[in-house]
Amino acid sequence: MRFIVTSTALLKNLQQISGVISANTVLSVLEDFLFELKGNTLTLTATDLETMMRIQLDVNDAQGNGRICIPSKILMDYLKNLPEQPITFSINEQDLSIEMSSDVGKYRIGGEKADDFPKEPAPGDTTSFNISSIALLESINKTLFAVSTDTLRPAMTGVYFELAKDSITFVSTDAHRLVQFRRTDISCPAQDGLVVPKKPLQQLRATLPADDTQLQLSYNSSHLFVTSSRLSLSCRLIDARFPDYKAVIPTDNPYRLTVSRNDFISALRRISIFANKTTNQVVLDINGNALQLSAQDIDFSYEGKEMLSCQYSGEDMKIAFNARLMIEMVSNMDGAEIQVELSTPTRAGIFRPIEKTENEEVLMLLMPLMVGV
Amino acid sequence: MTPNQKPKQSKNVRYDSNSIAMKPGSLVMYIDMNSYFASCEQQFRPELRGKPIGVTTYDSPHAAVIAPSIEAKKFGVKTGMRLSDCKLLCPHIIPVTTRPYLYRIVHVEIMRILQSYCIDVLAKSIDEAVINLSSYRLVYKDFVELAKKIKNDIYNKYDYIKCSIGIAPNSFLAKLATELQKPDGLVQITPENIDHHLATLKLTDLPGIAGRNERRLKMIGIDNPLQMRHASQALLRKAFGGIVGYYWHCRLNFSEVDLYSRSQTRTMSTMRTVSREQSASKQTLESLLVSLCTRLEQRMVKQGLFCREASFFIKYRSKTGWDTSIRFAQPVQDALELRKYILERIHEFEQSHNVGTMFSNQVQSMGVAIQNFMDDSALQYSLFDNRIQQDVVRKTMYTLKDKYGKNIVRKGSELFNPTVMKDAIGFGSVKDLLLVGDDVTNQYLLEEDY
Repeated sequence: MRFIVTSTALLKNLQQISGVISANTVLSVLEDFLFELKGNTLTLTATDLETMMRIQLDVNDAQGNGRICIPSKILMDYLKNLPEQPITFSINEQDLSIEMSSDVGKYRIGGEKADDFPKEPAPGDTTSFNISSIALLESINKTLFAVSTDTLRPAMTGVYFELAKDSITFVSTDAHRLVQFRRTDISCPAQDGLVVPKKPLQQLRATLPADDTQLQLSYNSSHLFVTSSRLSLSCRLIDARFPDYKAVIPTDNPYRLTVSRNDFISALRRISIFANKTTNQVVLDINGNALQLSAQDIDFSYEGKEMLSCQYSGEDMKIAFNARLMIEMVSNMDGAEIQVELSTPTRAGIFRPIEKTENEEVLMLLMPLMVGV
Repeated sequence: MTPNQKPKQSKNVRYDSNSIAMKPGSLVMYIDMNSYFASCEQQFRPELRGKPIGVTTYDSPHAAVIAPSIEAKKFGVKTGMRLSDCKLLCPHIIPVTTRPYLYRIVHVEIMRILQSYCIDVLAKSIDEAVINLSSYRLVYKDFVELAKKIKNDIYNKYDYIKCSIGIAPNSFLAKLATELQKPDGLVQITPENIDHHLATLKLTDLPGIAGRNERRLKMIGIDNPLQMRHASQALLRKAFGGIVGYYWHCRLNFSEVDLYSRSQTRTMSTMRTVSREQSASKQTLESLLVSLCTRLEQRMVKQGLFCREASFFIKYRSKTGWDTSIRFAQPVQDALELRKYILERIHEFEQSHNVGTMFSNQVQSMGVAIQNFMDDSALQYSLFDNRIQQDVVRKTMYTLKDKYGKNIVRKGSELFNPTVMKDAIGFGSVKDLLLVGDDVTNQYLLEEDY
């Protein structure tokens, strides 16, 4: 098996899938890329047994079809240090030797048997629908940040895809905050729910083009498959029930606070410097149309206060939130202004952008910090 | 600070921190109550005075004596002996079941007396206290006279409860001084007389030196405390293997290493020894677990803390045991929730290892420890399984207990098996008994269980 490929093209494709490979693997073959040559098409695959990612590229002067596993680290390190030039791969599948020749030299490494590489789950009995790459990318961007890292609650370590006939809702939560992002321009074949782990979504975020390329999403009870013309990803779904998130979204928050998004983020960033580093507590003291943000760290005698103009309808109130979570949430919203819907200092606040984007609906929920309950 | 936020200062008023560790050349008075639990019983039950008594945790011939009276000690009865063994040494010994609340009441009164002479008082345990007199050198000219005055005050309040007082430049030597003369002793150790006192002692007379440490010292040629005091730091380091040797050098050369400031609670633990009668019933053992968890809940509520980790151990009469650690996704304060997680873990183990019940009739002791605390003033509640209401109710319940007595309101779980849940040992509870002005925190600890 032999082919010629440009070093930068190969590196770029490998970088797109290399994130799948885990740093600590038990099987040495999981540290490898699977190279499969068929005609002039080279298919590269990486997996960590949970997620499998595959990308295709065209190569030149291909001779013979074949498959081999090539250690990822040494290959990537080599390609990163090579200026752009064609490389000739000569692979002997019998003794598993790989020779890479470039303008400047020849390099030889040992591979592993392709048959040892994990097989891709069979996408039999799946339900499919289409979504544009940009729509999926945006949905991931809007929700992934709020995913929990707590392995004790596995359902929260992924994004919940709630499929309906006329919409798809992406929900993520870490139990303290919740993001609900709904797209109404996508129709799904059935009402269903899947919890997709964080890692494949991170991979998709790093790989998907921000354009209208159509992707096919297929799923069954255990796996999700994302396919485009040259890229495919399959991942195991989280086998746990996503919490009943709708039950915790308050429907009767009567007070409305409207504030400039950028001013609010800037003020929060400044104030949080003075907040306690463990709790990141920032107190929002809303008095008429004045919003005072304050924070303190008693251990170091730090204190900060800042006034911000706002529009507010409701009773004056004082409520505390974790500034770090709030900054992340508001940064992931669009538009010039945001609205915070509140009821009491012990109940969750709802954050929404004022400006509505067509076919999109964003709702974020944040639990306050209990100030001396 | 927001109006609802509690002032942080209140949490710093703790018995386990004072300024002794900071001051070089300090002067410390150590008060050690003699046969404390037994003396308290004899104080409040005059018919027991002058008689050998043994305080036990429960009423059983197999019970261990946790505190023999001075009269019983004369017969050779020692702490920790089984009642049946004690009877061989002292056939007339009278077993008395412990009443921790009583010992706490006396403890608080004695602390009040000590605090009337010096504000820097540290309760080392329910029957020991350390007073830092370093900054009172000008206030009191003669500290031996002061000690006599304290003894007199205690005598006036409780005529049958005696104490030994030691005065020295550090707490270790002051504690040693209390050991030199018992009961009702008063000894001052100074740089001038320390050698004289040490010359009369064996190595094992020093608190903290027992069999193994004695052997270590003898191996390097140190046969008595006097030699130990004059040994070089390097030699002691060699004997004890590092920093411990340095500490011993400090202790015997008037530096303070045993008291240190610790403003943050790192761990809370509680354990119970189980009698044969108790271990015969699985239900009783489970009730004991509830009582352990309830004790920790009380302490967390009072200190305004939630824990994120817990560990549980169970020991069997066959000298085997089992322990487990649990990390909580959401901080925990509630006793029943703590118990639920522990039971879940136990059941998991029972099923996976097919070992039958862990709460067998062979259980000898069990204990729960909690750590990784977070302050309740900045608690981030969960959107799901929100427990704000329960937390508010729990806090209110303890406020009511403090105000109107511990039995004014009780959880159903506490009533299930009240005799088992009865609080048995008061050694560690001083951590929860803080004197703040005229008030005592956790007032309910001073009340009798019903």
